[in-house]
Amino acid sequence: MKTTFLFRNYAEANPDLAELYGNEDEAALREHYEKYGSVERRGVNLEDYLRVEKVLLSEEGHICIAGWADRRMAESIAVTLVVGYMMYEFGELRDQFCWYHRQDVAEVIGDFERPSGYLFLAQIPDFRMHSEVMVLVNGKKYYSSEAMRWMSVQSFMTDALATCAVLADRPVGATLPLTEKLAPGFSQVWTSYLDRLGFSCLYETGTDREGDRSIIITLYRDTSMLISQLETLAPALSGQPVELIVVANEYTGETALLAEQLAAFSQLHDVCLSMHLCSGNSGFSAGNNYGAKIARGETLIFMNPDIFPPEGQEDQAFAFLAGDPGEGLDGALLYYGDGSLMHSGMYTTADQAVDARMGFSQPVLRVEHYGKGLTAHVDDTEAELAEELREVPEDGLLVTAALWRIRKSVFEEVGGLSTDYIIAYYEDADFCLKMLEAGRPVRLDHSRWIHMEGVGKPKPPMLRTVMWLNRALYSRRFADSPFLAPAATDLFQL
Amino acid sequence: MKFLTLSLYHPRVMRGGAQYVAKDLHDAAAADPEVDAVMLAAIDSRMFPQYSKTGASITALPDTDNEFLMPGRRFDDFFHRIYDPRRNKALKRFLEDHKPDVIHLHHSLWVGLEVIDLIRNTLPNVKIIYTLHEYLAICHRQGQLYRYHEGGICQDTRPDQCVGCFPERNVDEFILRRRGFKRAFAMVDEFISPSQYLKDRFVEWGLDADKITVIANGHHRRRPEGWVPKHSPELNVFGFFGQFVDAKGIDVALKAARRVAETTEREVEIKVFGGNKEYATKDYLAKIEAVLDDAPEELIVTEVGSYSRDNVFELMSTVDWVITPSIWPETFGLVVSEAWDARRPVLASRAGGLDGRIIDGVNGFSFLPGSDTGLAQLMEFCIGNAEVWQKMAHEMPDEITVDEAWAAHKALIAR
Repeated sequence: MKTTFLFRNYAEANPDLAELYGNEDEAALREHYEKYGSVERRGVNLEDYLRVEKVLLSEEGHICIAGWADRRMAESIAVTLVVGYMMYEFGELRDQFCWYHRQDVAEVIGDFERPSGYLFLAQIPDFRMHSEVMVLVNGKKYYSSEAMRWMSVQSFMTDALATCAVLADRPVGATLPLTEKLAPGFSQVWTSYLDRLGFSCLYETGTDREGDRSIIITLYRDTSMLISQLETLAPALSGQPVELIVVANEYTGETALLAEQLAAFSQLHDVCLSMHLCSGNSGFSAGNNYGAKIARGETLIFMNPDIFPPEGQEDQAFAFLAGDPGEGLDGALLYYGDGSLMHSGMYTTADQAVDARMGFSQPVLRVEHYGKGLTAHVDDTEAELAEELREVPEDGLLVTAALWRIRKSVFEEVGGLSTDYIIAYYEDADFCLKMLEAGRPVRLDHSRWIHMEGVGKPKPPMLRTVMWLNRALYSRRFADSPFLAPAATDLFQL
Repeated sequence: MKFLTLSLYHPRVMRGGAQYVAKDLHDAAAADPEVDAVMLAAIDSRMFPQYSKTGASITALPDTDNEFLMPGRRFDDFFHRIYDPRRNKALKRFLEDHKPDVIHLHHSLWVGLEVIDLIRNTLPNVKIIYTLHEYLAICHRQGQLYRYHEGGICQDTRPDQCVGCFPERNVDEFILRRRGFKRAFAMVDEFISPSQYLKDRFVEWGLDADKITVIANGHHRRRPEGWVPKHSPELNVFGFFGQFVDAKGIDVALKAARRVAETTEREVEIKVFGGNKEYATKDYLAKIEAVLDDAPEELIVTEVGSYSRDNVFELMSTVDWVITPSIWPETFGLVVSEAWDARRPVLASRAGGLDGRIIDGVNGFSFLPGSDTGLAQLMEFCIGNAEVWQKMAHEMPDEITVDEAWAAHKALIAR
């Protein structure tokens, strides 16, 4: 076979070289091509091999880029952001990019071996906003705006999380290591979002009352069940040394109306009640931590906004509110609205996440509820209950934060709920494992409560990414915990 | 005895069955020398701003001695509560000022279930009686127990079934809704049901049967002494009296009449005295249009419009038979009492409270709800049947009067 270097074509297509070497110096031109030209993909229309499908930019310099590339033609990617009179160069990015397999792209470019989809998340330090923005990839302009509409940190976070759902929706084995590329970026965004949040007191009554316990209810947006919940809790609150603190994340309803309803409720029931609105969505951990911070009680009861005492069995449920958790953490038996068992303790266990194509294998943790979905019923006798709980161990148990009882001092010593978890999920299991690792007991109280968790609704993309990221964080933290349930528990105990 | 009636609306604000019953009983109580009667009617102030005074939660009804209005600014029509602090304060004071011995609640709509908490807190020993005018506690579908998406009476009211009518809501919400009603109803001393059917449905739902007494809604007789009932020459004029809405079954009556006209080639006249046509759905109106499309000339349909209880006696005298073709389980059927007062036999569907009231051949005839063929057979039998008509028109018993109903209430209160 004969191989010919078309040096005249090369010189013609690259006038800078022609000026240096002329059109006829085949040797010099060939040397340049082999040394630089082929690596730089001179003469290649980059847009045919590298696409930017989405660019998100926040007012604090967070940037998220999503797209695809044919890695054989675009081996490295250099991102540059020009904002007004400032140019921010990320340089050549290899490790910072989160590459993943995209079947749709592979079918077009013909490369099924290398991952072609990419996600990039970063923050520019010392960022200055301006109206003019340009995003260059490998020196080529891929995005520009002369009147940039900057996203708030919250909307950036929401959109960026939703963008990454493409990974969260895949089997965890195929994407778990990729969280390491994205988690630092999201952690930065989440922290910067949390830092700017604040809480305002919407309503308070009876706060001069002496009390030794505080019930903390953290809700997200929806207050539709709040009055019903307060009505059913009223006998345990009315005239009792208990304060009830409601923390609402991202409440979007009419605040005046909500305050009026709470006032009207207080007219009918002698309660110590306060409600605090967060300026955004601080998530489950920060919301509850705030409630704990302002709580005056020595004992804290964390309660989800969909927890109710069972009809006709209120007294046994209210006994839970009055009990002392000592140095430990107590959870309770939770039943669905239809009366069937939802929670009688939890365990955490490890699976092996494997992706042979990507070449990795690592543990990923999973949290399971004992007894979930069994035929046990909230109206069962004590004997029936004892039989149903026969496989639930007393030691090494985790309990869901849908309903917790813990001394404030213990809660604070353990550090409260970790706000490293974005919005929600896995923070309660994290807290339980920290308790256990500190040698503190975690127990399942046998009081029965209703958890109106309802039928699962499809989760929005951003929340799916949150669960994926949080699970990865939880797995990294506790992969070596001595309190992981053995395989036999996972396979045979319920 | 100080007797407070707490109702939904007042007939002077908006006419309707429940408010007439409440007002009639209040009037009967007020006329009773042993009773000091007060009436407080909850209303929607947005719908009736002319009855609302800024900042006042309770106001007097003009030109009455002891009748008041309680205009509300908002109402949670799922959980049936209001939670308005201004109103709570006013109502508490109202109760403290009037100190009723008995409070008769007639509704939760615009009254709010938390009012029962407030009553119990303010007057711990007051006797609370509650008339169940419809199935609202059981059914969020306007309390009708009718599944529009299936076209049938709802026989299974468990929360998962409710989602069939309201797919945008979840089962837990319906469990909580039921719980809210039951929690409030637990503070009620006695319930009154206008029909055995309604009582049975509430017992099945969870109320204690011993706490529900059936007392028919009393009726104001309009029939003059010595008045003799007359009929049309052909005994072929049927009247529908009621609301022109989907669940009332006007389409069933028209289909049946058309069937009779087509098969017998005899003239059949239907007079429709129906109000609130604006609340009928487009689909329903189209269905009625379709029934009348290319109808035979023997079928004469006249849409007369709405009526009131002041002229219903005269209007009913213009028909021979009254049809109540409801497809939803009527709780009582006031129109039946009015028909009997006008000595008109009733052709009624066996839906809900109507079923127990109609005795075939005595005060009317009954047919399966929604069955136009069943009704057509009855109509065919009735047309020109003077013997049957005369017997029933002269022998049918009347419904109890308002005074008799009040006496029954007093007996219940004294129990």
